[in-house]
Amino acid sequence: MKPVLQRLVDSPDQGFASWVVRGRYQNPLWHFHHECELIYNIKGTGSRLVGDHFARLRPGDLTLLGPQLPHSYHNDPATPGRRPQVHALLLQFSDATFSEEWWELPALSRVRRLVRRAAPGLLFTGATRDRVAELMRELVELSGLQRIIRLLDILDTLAASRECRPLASAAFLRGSRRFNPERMTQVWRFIHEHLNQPIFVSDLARMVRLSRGAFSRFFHLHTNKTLPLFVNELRVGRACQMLAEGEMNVTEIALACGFSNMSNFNRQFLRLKNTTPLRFRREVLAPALRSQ
Amino acid sequence: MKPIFETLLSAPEAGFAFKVVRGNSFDCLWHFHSEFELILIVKSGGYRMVGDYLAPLQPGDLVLLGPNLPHIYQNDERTRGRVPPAHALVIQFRSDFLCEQWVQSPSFGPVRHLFQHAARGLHITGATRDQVSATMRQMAGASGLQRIIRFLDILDTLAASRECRPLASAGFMEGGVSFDQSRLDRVYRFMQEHLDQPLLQSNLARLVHLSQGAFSRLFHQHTGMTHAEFVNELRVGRACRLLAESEMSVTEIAFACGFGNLSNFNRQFLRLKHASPSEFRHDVATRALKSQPS
Repeated sequence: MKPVLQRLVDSPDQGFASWVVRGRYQNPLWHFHHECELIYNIKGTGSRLVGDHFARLRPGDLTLLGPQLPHSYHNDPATPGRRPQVHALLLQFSDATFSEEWWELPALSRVRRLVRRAAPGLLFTGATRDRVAELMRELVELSGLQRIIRLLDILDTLAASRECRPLASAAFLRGSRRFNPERMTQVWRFIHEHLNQPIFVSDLARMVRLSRGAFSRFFHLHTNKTLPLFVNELRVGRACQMLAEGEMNVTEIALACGFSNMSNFNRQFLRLKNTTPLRFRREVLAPALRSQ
Repeated sequence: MKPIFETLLSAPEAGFAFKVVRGNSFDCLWHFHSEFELILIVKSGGYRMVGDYLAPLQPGDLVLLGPNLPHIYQNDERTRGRVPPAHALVIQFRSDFLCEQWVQSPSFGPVRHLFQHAARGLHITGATRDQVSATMRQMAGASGLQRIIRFLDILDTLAASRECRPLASAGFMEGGVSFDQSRLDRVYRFMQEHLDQPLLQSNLARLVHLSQGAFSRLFHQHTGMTHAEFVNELRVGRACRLLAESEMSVTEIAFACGFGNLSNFNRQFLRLKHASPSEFRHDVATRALKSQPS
């Protein structure tokens, strides 16, 4: 079965699209497209699934996703009474952004390599991230030649940088031909919406009409993890966010994140974070308190 | 003396080249090419001739030449010590170097306009000149994509600037003037084709179905000149080209360019070029073209 192809912008100005996301990520589905996508998450927490890479989404994350790479960006549900907090900049470009003559220019060879290197997705850090973030902020305000100049500057900066690491695994890229993004989208959405409740393989398997064994293989192919491991990471990630916000106590947080008892919460937390929830909160909050 | 056609870009697929020229001379004949050329003189004396516009060269001189515009750069300074007397930075590019979908986007209006205007050659001055020169100097040290980025930045600066003055006369380069209005375009084409004949305002007005008064206002509004002034500039421009490139006598040239008598030709020529036709021919032959092989 062929995965869903998405094309987010029909006829982008000058052959590439750029826009600002405010509120929440518009497309939390697991999807892919021909365009390369550069995402700068200025504000807002949540999680991202890029191939089989799964991680908490943090303010300041800059990711470049290669063509055809399945991904999903999902912000945390808004704290009651507050509005969703995502603020992000997006940039999509493709083969069609430059003419064939341009792609063959020796000056663009590094950019060609960058697009290939981005097949598993790349996370950029450090000075590269700061410089590209600044250029992306400028780009969304510009038109004409200056907009193209910023795009080229962004691509050149990314292509020259070593401050990056791949996201999805090589095994994922090899296996990606057997993906079923529609099914994975269904599963991914269900997990997110029911994270505060028990999540069973049998429920999910029934939902997507697979046997339990077939579901486990399906899930592992897409995420490189078992369902319990995946769900635990998601829950601990959300718990960390709540601990850092400092408004709920540890027991409340454990329950809100779908852990039915404290000892399991503490065990999972220790395994993934190498610390206890309380110590984590103290470490995160201490610098903030000191600065007050 | 016909200008020579040259092919500039060694790797035509690149569509863009940056060159540093250094030597005793610019090693350049009276020539033209289909590429645009932006020339910054870092160091040189002598003369440049762009179309029919002859002017002394000095450091900092910055000129953008459109496709097929004949030109020559001539250094006359002697070598002192080891430093070569002629030093220039040159950018050559084809008009299709910019990707199609960019040029067609509405925000590219100023760039399209710049390309049209460059047909007669543009002399760039003031703050624009300083900014573009600084960027061109940076290009020498930049490589790869950064060089292209700087080049696009230069195009943007030039397109936004008003400090660009055309060099060659409108009559020298056909198509050197462009009107957004198709009516005036028709008039301009008619003038080019019938330049050797009297061009009466009444005939031109009839050509575009206007009264003489309406034609006169429209023409002045778009060119800032009266119809008679404009026609005279066209005639003198063509005369310059013939003086520089042909073996025709001054009298023959005057008639070929539509002047009814020689004294009027001489008067108009003197007014616009500050020289007599034979002095102009002599200047071009001795100063600008002196390295020309016979």
